[in-house]
Amino acid sequence: MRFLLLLIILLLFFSCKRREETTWDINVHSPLIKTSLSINNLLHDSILNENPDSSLMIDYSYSLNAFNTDSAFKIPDTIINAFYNIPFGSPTSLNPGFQFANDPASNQFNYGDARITEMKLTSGKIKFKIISQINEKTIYTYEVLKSDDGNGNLFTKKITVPAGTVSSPGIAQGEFDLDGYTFDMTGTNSNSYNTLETRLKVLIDPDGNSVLVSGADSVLVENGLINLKPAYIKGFIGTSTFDEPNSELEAGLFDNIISGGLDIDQLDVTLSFTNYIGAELRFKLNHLRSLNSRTSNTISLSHNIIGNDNNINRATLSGSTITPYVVNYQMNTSNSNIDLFLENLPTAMEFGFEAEINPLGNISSGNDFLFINKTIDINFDVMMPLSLIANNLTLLDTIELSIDSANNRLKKGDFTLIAENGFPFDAELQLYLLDIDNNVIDSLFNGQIITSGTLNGANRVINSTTTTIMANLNEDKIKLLEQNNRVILTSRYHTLASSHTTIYSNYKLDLKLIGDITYEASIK
Amino acid sequence: MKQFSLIVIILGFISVDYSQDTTSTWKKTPPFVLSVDFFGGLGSTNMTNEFTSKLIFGGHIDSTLKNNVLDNTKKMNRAGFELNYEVKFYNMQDTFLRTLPDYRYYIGIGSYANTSASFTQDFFKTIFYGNASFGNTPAVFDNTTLFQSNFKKISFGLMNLKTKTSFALSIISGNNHQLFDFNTARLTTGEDANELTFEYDGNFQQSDSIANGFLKFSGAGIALDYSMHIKETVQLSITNLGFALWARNPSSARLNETINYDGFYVSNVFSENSFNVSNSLDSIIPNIESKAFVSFLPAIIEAKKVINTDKELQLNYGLRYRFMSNYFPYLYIGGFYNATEQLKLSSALSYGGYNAFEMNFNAYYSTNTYYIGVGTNNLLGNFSKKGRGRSLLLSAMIKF
Repeated sequence: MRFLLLLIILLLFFSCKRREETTWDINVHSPLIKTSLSINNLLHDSILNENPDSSLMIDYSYSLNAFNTDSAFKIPDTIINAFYNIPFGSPTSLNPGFQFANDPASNQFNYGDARITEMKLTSGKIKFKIISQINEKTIYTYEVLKSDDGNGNLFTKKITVPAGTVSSPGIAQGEFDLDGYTFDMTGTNSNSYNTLETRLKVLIDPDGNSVLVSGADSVLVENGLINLKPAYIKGFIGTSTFDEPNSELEAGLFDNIISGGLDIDQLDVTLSFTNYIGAELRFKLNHLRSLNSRTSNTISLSHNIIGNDNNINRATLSGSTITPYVVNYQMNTSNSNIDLFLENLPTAMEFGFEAEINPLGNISSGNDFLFINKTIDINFDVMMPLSLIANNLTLLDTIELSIDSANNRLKKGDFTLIAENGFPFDAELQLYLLDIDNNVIDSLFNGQIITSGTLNGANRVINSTTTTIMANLNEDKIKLLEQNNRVILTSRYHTLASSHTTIYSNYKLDLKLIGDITYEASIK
Repeated sequence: MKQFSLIVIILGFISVDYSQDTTSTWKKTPPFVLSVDFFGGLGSTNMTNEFTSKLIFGGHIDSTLKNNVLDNTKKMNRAGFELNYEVKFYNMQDTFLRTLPDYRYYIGIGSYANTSASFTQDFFKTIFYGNASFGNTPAVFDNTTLFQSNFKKISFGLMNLKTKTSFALSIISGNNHQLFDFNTARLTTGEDANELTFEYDGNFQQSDSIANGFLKFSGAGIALDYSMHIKETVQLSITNLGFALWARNPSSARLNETINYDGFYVSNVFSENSFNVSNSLDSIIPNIESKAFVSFLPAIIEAKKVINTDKELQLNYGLRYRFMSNYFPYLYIGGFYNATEQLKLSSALSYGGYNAFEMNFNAYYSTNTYYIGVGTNNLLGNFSKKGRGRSLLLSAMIKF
């Protein structure tokens, strides 16, 4: 009986536990979020500068990576073979440690018209294969004279080749890294070029046995310098030409614009060439085009630089410090059609150019230099006062929402967006809902315009204007959001004034979202 | 008879449940006695059993259920839940002190859990319907109190068999304590819901919200239990008269604030990381400092008629009150029937507690070795979804 009583009490305690969530629906009428959008939210603040009168300037830099550094100077793979006959007519016994070859060599390489006197490698290899018919282990010491690993050490490697015979020679093969080595390529007397001084020593293994050799025995040494990638080269780097007939690069700045037009008031673009190469450069920009893939419109840049040869002087080197040579070409609305070029809102830019290094030949007496990681920089620097006419300029952005249907408590709701617009343009916002195949099947707002702020005679905003926009989120729309967590936000802007309208730093758009929502409250 | 009286005296010291007197056929005083008493009950002046069942155990509360409760909701309402038990071990054969031959001692452990609320109609509507139906009219929450207390006790007591008095001193281990006490409070939705304003003046207390399990000593204190007979007619008792100090990670404040909320601020809608719910809530919820506090325990005071074990049928009545617990004085009156030597029955009509009118029923059975009692103070509520409360009383005693 006492146990039954205890059991009843225990059951009561353990039955008093929540089995599942408690939920109920409530109807909440409440402000939800508020925000203030300035021009820094619409454009990245790193490209905006503020003038003393609070007007804004776009300062945008775009790098044209036109130069393939691999094209500047390429070292071809080179194979060097050496054949050694044993210099004894009749069979002769050689003792362990006997050195029968000590062979310095000057290896001059063909680099076209380049005359390289010094070279440092970022990477490269020496590949070797030694075929020996000597019937005892042999030791090969391979040195590259006039080399430096950065710590004052020569390139020296020892290779052990197994014993072999005429019918079954001993073979050793492999490769060594040349990463980080600097080579003096002026030869033995320091008056040559493209030359590597090497030395090969061969001796019978000192720890081996005496071996009988004759003139029929031989050794073949094959060396290969492969995949040499220079960090820098000095000397006369030769003449080379580059021809890029047509290359295309993404523009990036106007990617979100899907329609509409932009009329720019003023624009100053500096096209700068920065030459880090210690050699003269001749450059011709054959064409530069603004491509808009949405409108299929193409605008070719017209300016003095197009189609004409431009000479750029060499950079100078002091120690390891490079002083580049910079040439700037100014483009504005007076000397070019750069405004039309950018008003095309390009999605890509297409260009064609020719370039020649050392067009005048070896005029530096072999004092050229080339650092592979610093060759030529081509930059567009755009300085544009933010003064424009926007003609239904429409931006599109895809927003990822993470609405977990299992945890979503919002059942339905009516939303009010209160917009206090201090910008001098009308705006229209729309949120498109997508199905699981990313097809647009519904929208949220009713297409109402957010009215521009009130302008004075100088087209400056003196008062904000308040607009109320309604949106309905019913159960079907919420299901869509849960199924496909992406929506498309479009915003359309239109300036009212017929003349260019300046944007000031204090302009902002205040937004407040109020909800009249049915929400599922819960206790877990 | 002496045995019957002994059991009556022992059971009379037990104040966990409402009425538990009985007779017994025990022939001689047992050397040791183990008693267990349990009471669990909930009640409300407006919430039906179906509603509270879903609120406590889970489920969806639909509009029909809410509307039924709203029809019963008056300007001020109350609801509460109690879960109490005590286990005691009595040594009946030895005196505690040689100089006090009439005194016997006991050792006990117990647990008292109570959650209660008194709230306005507007409070109920706001929580379960939302603020939309109020329009611009303020929702008034004046005198709304939410209280929760949970503690364990270890007791040492003495009882005088002659005078039928007993007292015990308990060490209290507090599990948790929460109090939201609004003297005045109102929630106003601004025009077009442009802003919400919450003005309130009240007290707030909360013990450690993390480490609050059994014997965690989130709070610690002492309490006194006392019981006496007045002229062999009425038994008067008080249980858990004491206090607890809540010193580990507590929060306590007297608040007089106006909170204006006009939307969470997002610094950049185009950036995922510009909005943090936790930081945004911090900006509107007032900062409450960590401050230790002392609270009185929700003591229980009872006065009840002493049952005459010789009478076959007699009047039975009593009064109970629980402090600090949104509790209305509980009064019951009814009859007690000695059916047989083993079986006793009682029934009464009652008013108060967390409910209004209720009907009690209890049954007791005893043998030479044990006694058991079971009952409820809401007979109809236990079997009806539409009732507004449920309860269960269990008591047992074993001699060995």
